[in-house]
Order: sequence, then C-alpha cells, then structure tokens
Amino acid sequence: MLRVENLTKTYRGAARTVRALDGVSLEVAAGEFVAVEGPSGCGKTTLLLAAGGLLRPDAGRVMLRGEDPYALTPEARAAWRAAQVGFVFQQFHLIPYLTVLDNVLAPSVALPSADGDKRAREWIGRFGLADRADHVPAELSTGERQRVALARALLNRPALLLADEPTGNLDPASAAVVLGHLAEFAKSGGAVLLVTHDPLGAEYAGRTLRMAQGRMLNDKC
Amino acid sequence: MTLWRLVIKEIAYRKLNFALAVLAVLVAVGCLVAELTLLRAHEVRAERQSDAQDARTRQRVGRLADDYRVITKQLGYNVLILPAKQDLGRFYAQGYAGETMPEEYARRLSESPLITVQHLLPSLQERIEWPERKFPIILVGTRGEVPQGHRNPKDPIQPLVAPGTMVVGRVVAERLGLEEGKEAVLFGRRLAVAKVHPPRGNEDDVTVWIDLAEAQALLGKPGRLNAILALSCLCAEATPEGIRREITTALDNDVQVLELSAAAATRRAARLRASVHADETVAAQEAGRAELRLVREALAAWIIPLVVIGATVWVGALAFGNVRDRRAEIGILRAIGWRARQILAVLLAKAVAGGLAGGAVGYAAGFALAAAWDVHEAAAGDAAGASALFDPGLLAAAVFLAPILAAAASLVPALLAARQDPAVVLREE
Repeated sequence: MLRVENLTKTYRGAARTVRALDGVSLEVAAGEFVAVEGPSGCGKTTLLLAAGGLLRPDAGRVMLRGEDPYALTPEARAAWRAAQVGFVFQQFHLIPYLTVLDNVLAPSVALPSADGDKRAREWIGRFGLADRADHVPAELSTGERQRVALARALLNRPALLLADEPTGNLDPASAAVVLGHLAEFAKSGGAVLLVTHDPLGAEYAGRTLRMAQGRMLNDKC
Repeated sequence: MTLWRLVIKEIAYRKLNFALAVLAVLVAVGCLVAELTLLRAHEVRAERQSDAQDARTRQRVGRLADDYRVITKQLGYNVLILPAKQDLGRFYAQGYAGETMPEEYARRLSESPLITVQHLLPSLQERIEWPERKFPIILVGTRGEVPQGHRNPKDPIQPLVAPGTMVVGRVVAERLGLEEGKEAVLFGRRLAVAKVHPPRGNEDDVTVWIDLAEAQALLGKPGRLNAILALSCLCAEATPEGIRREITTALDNDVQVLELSAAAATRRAARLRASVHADETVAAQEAGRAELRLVREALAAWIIPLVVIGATVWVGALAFGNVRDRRAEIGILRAIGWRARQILAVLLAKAVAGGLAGGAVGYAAGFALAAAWDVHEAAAGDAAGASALFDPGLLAAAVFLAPILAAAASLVPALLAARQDPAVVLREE
C-alpha cells in the first residue's frame, strides 16, 4: 500500500541545519497498523507529512498504491490527498466555528460526493457522537474532538490513515477508544501509520518502528 | 457543506473582524456617496436658483427695457410729416409749416398697412393774435389717431382736446386770467378751459390747443393740415429711412418727412443694451456656477482617492489579520485536500460579502447623511429633495464596485494564505 524509499529531508534555518530524515524507508501494507516511536525531533512528523504528500522530500520516493504524489502538480496532489489520505493530529485541528457534522464534512468540499452527508452521519454515529452533531468543537471533550477529527479523516474512505500523536492530549480511556478505531480501520483493509510517544499506541499497532535522529532504528514487531 | 456555508459560519464566528471590514467599506462608500450626492444636491439647488435668478434677471431686464421704452417714447421715432411744398427754411424760422396738405392724408396713413407707425397726430398750427384778447398765441388744432393696422387698447399718447374745449399754456393762462373750468371766447366761439399746462419753458407756454375741426373752421382752412406728427415706432428693425420711405410712398410723394431727433437710435441702443446686460448677467452667473462646480470637483478628486486608498489599506490589513488568525485552519483544509483556489475563493468570498454589505449600507448611510445635510444647508423649502438626489447609477456603482474593491484589497493576503505550505503550518502548530 505505502512504500517509502530512502527519504531524506533537511531543514535549513538561519541558525542551524537539521537533517530530519536520513534515508528512511518503510512499507505499510493494506490492513496493517504500523506505529513509529521515537523521541521528539527524531523526524516522525516529517516522515508522516512526507508520506501524506504534504512535504516534498529532498531525496527518496513515496508511493501509495503505486502512485508517487510528488510527481503530481500541487492541485492534483491536493486531490490525491483528499481521495487517498486521512490525517489525524494531536491538536485535532477542527474548524472552531463549524459543527461536528460540518467538520466531518469538510473533506467533501475537496472531494464532493452525493452521499457525503449520509456517510458523515454514519461516522458520527459510529464514533458515538450522534447527539453532538450540531455542537461546535468548543462544546466537546478532548476525546470527542479527536473522534470528530478521526471521522473527518475517514470520510472519503482513504487508503492510508496518518496519525500524528493522536492520543497526546487524551486521557487513557479516550486514547484507547481512538486507537481502537484506528485498529478497526486497519482491520477493514486500510493502512495506518501512527507516530506516537504513547506506549499504548504500540499495543494496538501490528508493528512498531523506532526512529532516532532521522533514521529508522529497528523494527520491533 | 459548501464554501459559502463555511464563509457564512466564519463570518458569524469572527463578527468583529467582519464588522470592521464592513465598517471600512461603509465609511469609504458612505463618504463617496455623501460627497457625490452633496455635489448633486448643490447642483440641483444651484440649477434651481440659477433658473429662478435667470427668470428674475430676465424679468428685471424686461422691466428695464420697458422703462427704456417708456422713457424714450417721447423721443423715439418721432417724425414730422410736412407738405412737400413746404420750404424748410421758413419752417424752421417760423416754427410751423405755412403750407398745408389734405387732412385725408392722415386718414390714409391711419388706414395704410404701415408697420412702423403707432400714433399719428394730425395738426393745423398757426401763429395768430387772439382777437378778443389782443394777445399773440400759437393756435394748434389737433386730434390723435392710431393706424388701423396697429390698433391696440392703448390710448393715443397725446390726449385729445374735446370739441368746445381748449388746453392752454401757462403764460397764456396767466396773462389772460384763464383757469380750468372757466370759459373764454376765441374767434367768437365760446370754449371751456379743459386744462392749463404747467410751465414748460418753451413755445408751449404760449400755445392754445383746440379740436382740429374747430381750428380748421376758425382759421378758414377746412380739411387742411400743415403737419402730421408720427410717433412711437416700436419695431426695433425699423429705421428712419424705412419710415420715411413708407410714409412718402403711402402719400404719393406729396409730403416730406423730418426725423425730429436721433432718439430712435438711442432708444434702440438702450433696448439692445438692456438685452446685452441680461445676457451678460446670466452668463456671469453661469460662469460663477461652473467655477464653483470645478472647485467642488477638484476637492472630490482629492477626497475620493484618499478615502478609497484608506479603505483599501484598512480592508487589506483586516484581511491579513484574518488570514493570520486562520493559519492553522487553512493548513488543515489544505492537508485534507482543499485546493489553493478553494482557499482563495473562501477568503475572497468573505471580502465580497463584506464589500457588498458595506457598499449597500454605506450607500444608504451616505445618501441619508447627504440628504439630511442638504435639508440643513438649504434655505427653507429649497432642499433638493431625496427623489432629485437619488442616483441609481451611483447605487449600482456602490453595490458593484465596493465588493470589487474589498476583494482587491484582500487579494494579496488571500493569495499568501492559499499558497502557504500546509506542512510548515502543521509542523509549527
């Protein structure tokens, strides 16, 4: 499903240069839930953004279902993201003035479909948010917010779900719920790449990788 | 979920930002509309005042021309018709014509289609000694006539002397003890003194006027005249030469025509001067109004760009602030697949909505302000009025151009937002 080959990415700032990715390679198969662990600044988020077609690597290649997103134009890559990739972030990044339903429906603007509203309500119901559909994020608990973000990520039935510390702001119970949904998505045939500090994440992942200083250290399995 | 829904929700969420943007457009459009509407109000009022002033000027000048006519009536186009045989040397030495002509000439003139003569005063005049009083007088028999072709309700300018009456000059009256209402005998005929003229300082003071027929009888010259005074040609185009030609032709060249004075030209010049004065006055007023309008337009030419630039900067700064506040939001939307042009559309749509609202409300506010100011500034009952001030073109321009202006002001921040790298935003957030 996802193949990352020898990715290299260097951030060049005025003060210093940081090699965030240094020849990282990995593969995530369909139905696989892969966790990547590592200390802060080891390149996990950079790996996630590069895999999701948001951050062009300096070298190496990203292939999702045999397609290299960086071979596409920016507009086509945006469409590719809308169709193929779902993102979940630690900070949720919900639109504060939209209701739960509208937040979940936001990807449908990028990839319109006739049954978008129906699917959004299905995801909301599946994540136990049916009675919160008309609430705005400020009226939700952090766990509910992350479930909204997860529903939004899954609306367009992506092939790959990329989750960046999705449980970082959650209590253990909420974190377990979110991780359970990620695992469920993987079981349904999707690929999940989770980067996390949370040991709980590794318990739900089928495979855990460790990163340090921009390199993939080992495959813990 | 649509772009517009997101725009509307965001507007509702960040009310202050939107309200300030609307306020910027409102102030700009309001100022422009108020300025232009006030210019229009001034123009409408100036036009009305100018029209009224023109009418008053024309009326005054008309009265002036009439005054000139009245003042110069005694002078203008007065010609004396004498028998052709009359020696002018004798006439000037004697003061009247010794020769006579048929009274029928006066009738013929009165019935001719002459277009230049208003009044005809046939007379028979002779210097005699009042036989009963042994006092030298000038006896004038007269009657007024109006040519047929020019008959109008006006009385003859020279009052008639009724048969059986006489009008006497001051010296005659004093020397012979004549008073109005008394009777005197002249050539054996008893005549009542109808009027005693005030002193005139000329031969009129020794003149006695009686009815023409009675004079002809008393002087033994029935049906004869020695002069016809033709007075008051009111036709500006008529010339002394023309009058002379018309009269002599009408009377078979048996008369000679003397112009009594050059006053005709004076009179015509006076009327012409009055007309020129009217034109100059009106032209001066129009020039003054045009100059005032130029000053106002020059002022507007400065104010309008300043207000537009100010509003553009204001809206642009607000758009920058809005984009900065929505950095994370825009980053996540880009991450989940929104195209740059969709982000651009959302930001510009908000600007257009603000421009539309600001334009519409700004027009209403500017118009109301200008209309109120017009009422305040104008004299009672002289306000231009809302219906005269309403300009649909200006309304259309305000509602159409304000959104364009707002969108243009927001374009740079919107482009920057649409092009921002979502990866950078998401990493930093």
